[in-house]
Amino acid sequence: MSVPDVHPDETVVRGRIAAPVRSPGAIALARLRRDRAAVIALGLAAAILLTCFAGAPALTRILGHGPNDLFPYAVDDNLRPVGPLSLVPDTRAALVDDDGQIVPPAAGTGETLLVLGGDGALGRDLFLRLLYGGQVSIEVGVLAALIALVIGVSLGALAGMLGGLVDACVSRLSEIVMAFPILFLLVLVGASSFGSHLQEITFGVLNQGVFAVALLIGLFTWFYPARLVRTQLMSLRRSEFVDASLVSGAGRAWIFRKHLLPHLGPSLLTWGTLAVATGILLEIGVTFLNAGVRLPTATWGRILADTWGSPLAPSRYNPAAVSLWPTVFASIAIFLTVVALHEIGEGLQRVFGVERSR
Amino acid sequence: MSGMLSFGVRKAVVAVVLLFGLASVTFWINYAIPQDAGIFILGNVQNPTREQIQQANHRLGVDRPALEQYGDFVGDLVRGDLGISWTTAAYVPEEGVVGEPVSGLVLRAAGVTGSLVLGGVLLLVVLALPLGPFLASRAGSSLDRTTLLLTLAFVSTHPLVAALILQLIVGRKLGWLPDQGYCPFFGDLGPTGIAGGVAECGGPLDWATHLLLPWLSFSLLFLALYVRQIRTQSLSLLHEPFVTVARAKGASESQVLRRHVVPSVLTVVAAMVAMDVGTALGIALFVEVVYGLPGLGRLLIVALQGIAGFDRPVIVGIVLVTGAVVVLANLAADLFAGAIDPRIRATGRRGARLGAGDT
Repeated sequence: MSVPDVHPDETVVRGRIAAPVRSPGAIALARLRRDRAAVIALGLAAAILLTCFAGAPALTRILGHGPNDLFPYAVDDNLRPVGPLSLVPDTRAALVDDDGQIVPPAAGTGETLLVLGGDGALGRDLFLRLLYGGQVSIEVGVLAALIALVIGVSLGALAGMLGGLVDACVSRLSEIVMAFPILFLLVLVGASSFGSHLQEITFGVLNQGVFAVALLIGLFTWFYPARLVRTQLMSLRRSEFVDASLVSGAGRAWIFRKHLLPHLGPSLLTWGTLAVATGILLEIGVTFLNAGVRLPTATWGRILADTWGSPLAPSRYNPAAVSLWPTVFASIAIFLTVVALHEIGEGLQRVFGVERSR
Repeated sequence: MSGMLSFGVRKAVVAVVLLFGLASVTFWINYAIPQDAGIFILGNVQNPTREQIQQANHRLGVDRPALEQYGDFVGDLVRGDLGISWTTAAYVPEEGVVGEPVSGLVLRAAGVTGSLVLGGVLLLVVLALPLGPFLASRAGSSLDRTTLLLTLAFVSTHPLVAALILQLIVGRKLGWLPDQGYCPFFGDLGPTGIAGGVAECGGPLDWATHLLLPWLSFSLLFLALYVRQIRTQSLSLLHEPFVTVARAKGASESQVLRRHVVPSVLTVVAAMVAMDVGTALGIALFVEVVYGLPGLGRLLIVALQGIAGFDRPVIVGIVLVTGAVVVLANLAADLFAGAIDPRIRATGRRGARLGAGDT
């Protein structure tokens, strides 16, 4: 009796070679590998994460100055910040003579490199501020999406599994939250003393103010995952495998965890990715409106606001007093991050075959 | 049609309850934030004493028990009275506290925001509706792929950034269009600019030229989103039997698109527009801020970041108006969908849509 010559990956079934059994996760992973756009987007996202979280402290060490250090000589007479790749006097104090005129720094002062130039009239390092600002934005986006997912999946599961009065309550609640203009609320709470208390919560790892903004965004976007989960559960709970489990004596909570949650995974993951992008955009918006993450923490919204002024006191554009570099680089940073997240989201939709709608 | 009628009534009742809930939530959030609203009517008293502030609080009625204030608030709301703006309020010895009514302020600002949003949506529909099916009919071509890449770029651009760049390049560097301010459609004098000054402009032409850049900035993100969505929608429609039948009858490709695909897509677009109204109002806020339009966004920011504190009546008024627009748009979409599809009338809801959400 001879055993057919088979590859170790393949399974011998009664002398015939059967296709290897693959889990849905493995199938999705294989599809993801072939999806060039998604792979590029994942690489871009990884690069951004790495630069912001590992590159920023490393660069701080190499350059010898931090994102909030002021370089008074990194601006010209009109307080216009210097451009990219500028060597500026490494001093934090501007020297003023008796007439109030600024004098050159003392001889022997070393020089330090501002890679992307200075940010605003205070002459801070734009590149470092962009990197640290990226940390803040990404933390806000991820945390907000997680908070929204936890609340949304819990409430959506309750509504979808229990139905009846619970479902009605959750649906009405989600409609109220949906009709609430979230941006207005963010500004409202951000400007209050309550917001200042939230501002202090960091859990020891987050940047200051991140939790406050993320919590508010999460509290007012959970209705998307909630509706998603509810709608899917409504159709899933009538399926035969759920009936079979019920008959076998399984509890509702167990069925949800074991049989239903895996079904929801792909669409929730996709929504989560897009929600991170939304959170980042919202954070930039509220910071620009002067109500989100406060100084001295650098954020991308803050860098834009530093050039263009706050809504109550917009600065008229004056080519002699304003450098466009901060705006340009901040816009590029925002754009790259959001493009990567959108492309990952779309890639996940293709990979999992989630019904696409955006 | 009685099914349709009761469906409509049911939805309308829910909408009214929702709006009431919205107003109440706003009231309590504002109440939970401690402040001496009396400072608003102190006028130019330098360094007011504690007694003066308390007296002013008393005159404004904000030192009463919470439930009593809430009762008055609800009573006024039912009568359609939103109160007076605290920012404009002053104490007149004989008459009590007087000021500008919130309803007038909010309505005037809503006119500006409305001009921005409606014009933007019109621009968006006029551009996206032909472009989406056109791209679908040439799916996979280099034109299609280039446009898709371009739309991805627009979708990923923050509306704030888009507005700033457009304003800088078209409005300031090239100077083709005004970069700031608002001109009323009617009349030739009106408030303009972020400071609320008066400019000598007005009439339909000035109105349109001042709004052209805001319209563009506003619709860029949505335009990209809608082109992508409509293209996908049309692509699946092109394989439907009714399209095959139309082709078999000898219709040209452009006839197929014009007569069969676009009308089918139109119903979907109507529902999408309704669902995106909330997001759109948020984006309008940024555009208003950048271009200095005296709309709801600016009114809200003044009410929130005023020196004396939160102008509660104005905040409630704005939340109520924007909430009403969102609720009404969704109500309209529900009724529209219900009119087309009897199954929705029975269950009473549309499916949840997977989306990126508010921006």
